[in-house]
Amino acid sequence: MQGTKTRLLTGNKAMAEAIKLEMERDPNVFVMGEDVGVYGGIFGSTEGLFQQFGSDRVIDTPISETAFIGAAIGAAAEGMRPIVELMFVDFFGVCMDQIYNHMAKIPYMSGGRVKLPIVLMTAVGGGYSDAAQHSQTLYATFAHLPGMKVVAPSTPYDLKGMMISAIRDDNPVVFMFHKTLQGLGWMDQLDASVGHVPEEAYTVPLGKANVVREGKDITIVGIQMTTHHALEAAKKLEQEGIEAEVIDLRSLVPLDRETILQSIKKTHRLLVVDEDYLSYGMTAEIAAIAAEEGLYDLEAPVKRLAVPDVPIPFSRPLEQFVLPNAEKIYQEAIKLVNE
Amino acid sequence: MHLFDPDVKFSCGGIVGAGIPHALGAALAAKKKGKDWVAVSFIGEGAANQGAFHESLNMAALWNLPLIVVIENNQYGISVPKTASTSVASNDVRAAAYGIKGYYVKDNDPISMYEVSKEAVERARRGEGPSIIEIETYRYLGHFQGDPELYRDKNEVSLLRDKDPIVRLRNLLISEQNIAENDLDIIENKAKQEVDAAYQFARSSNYPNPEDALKDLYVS
Repeated sequence: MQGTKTRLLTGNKAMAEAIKLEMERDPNVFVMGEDVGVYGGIFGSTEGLFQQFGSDRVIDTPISETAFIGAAIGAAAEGMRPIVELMFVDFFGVCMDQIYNHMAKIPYMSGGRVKLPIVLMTAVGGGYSDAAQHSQTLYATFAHLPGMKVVAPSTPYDLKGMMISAIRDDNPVVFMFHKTLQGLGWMDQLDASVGHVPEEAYTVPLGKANVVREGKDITIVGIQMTTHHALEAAKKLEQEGIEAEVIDLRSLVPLDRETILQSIKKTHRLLVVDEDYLSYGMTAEIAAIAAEEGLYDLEAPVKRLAVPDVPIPFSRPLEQFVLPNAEKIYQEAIKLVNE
Repeated sequence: MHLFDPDVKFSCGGIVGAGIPHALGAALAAKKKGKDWVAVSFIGEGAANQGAFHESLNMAALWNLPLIVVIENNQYGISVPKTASTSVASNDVRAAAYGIKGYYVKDNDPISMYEVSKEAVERARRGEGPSIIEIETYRYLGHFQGDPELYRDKNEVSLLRDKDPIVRLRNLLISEQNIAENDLDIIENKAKQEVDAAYQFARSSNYPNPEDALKDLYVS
């Protein structure tokens, strides 16, 4: 990106800018959801859009997820390109039928004749005491069900590029953004929630993982916050003479198996870190792929770190106990390298 | 159950009530695109107790969208009679909950169906918002092939067959409109031929390639 003008943007501003650019380019793109209008989205995903585009294209809905997500489906079938926000991924329970049985399946059931170019954006993640029903990530819940792409960017650069890709994709895309990476004023501002973002429109492909740190001793696969924890752990590991290769998954569906398999050819050790519940999830999927297609490249068993199959607690020490962090990754990596 | 024909803007699905929000979305698209389309969602009386029904009608009323929800009240949700599922005598009165217009068609009457639908469509096109139409109808057969229908009297069905609306309409056209029986026969035969041809087409078509099961997950 030689000569491109970039500036530092928070995650939320990067997302909102992507939507703005696409709305300027294509009159069929519009946004619907709770508090997306004047408020700009509870997590800032639509900051500034209502002021620029008005209530016709940035639409506040009643608390009726089944109806407005279903309406996005009906509008998309008639040629529009809706971006619809599910305020917290935890709320999928009240509208999952529309998401997994209709949005994800109508293109297949219609033999490809009905296209649903929908972006379902939703806030995920915990670590700030929002408790069991407002802190989940649920990556695996959505990734498991066929028919929808599921992406989870971890930097402002990727948030903008992947949102533009998602909007331009003719398939339904579940776009998960992590709340603590939005860079909001009312949360602890993490360094990772601010980054350099080019001014113009650009795309980052869906379905491609990113090697964010090269190394030869151990592969650590992360997603959103766990990628940043892994990078922090990698700095500490470096002081022990251990070079970790950190892969930011970025997309759950399509899943970039190749990048992971190439990496373990080099490092022979795999640690997968997830902010979702451990069992039946992302870490299990990647471990299975490693076992099926990379077994002979491994010199130690795959190690998985995730939330230990309990609801996310409210109390700070309890919540910190269940969430992955840099220290836990560091400890596991040391063990794995010494196996 | 999963039929899609975008050319005539028709679709159906197997989840009770789930199509109402899709029609809501089509109505939203109509308004955004400045078209005079009207979105019509056909449901059974059982679906009128689904959350999607209430959410969609509230939103359609709120945003003044050209949506019509037609309730084919055939008295039974599989085995459960409407009196055991629905808190009101007929769903048209639920229109008041959303501040919209509700219509009731009694006794399967085709003339009333036509008149009521015409009014609802014209109102929608004039920007006067959504409507509910409840039609009192009946189901001669079981809910599914092989349904032993232990939940109703066999007499019930034969009494209703005597009131068949298509036969009633035919007799009305002959007696009150002086339409020749022959002309009506031609219409009925044409309809039968269309159905027969469709049946033959289905029967004689080949099964798809098994590997096609992996196609069309995503569109390109």
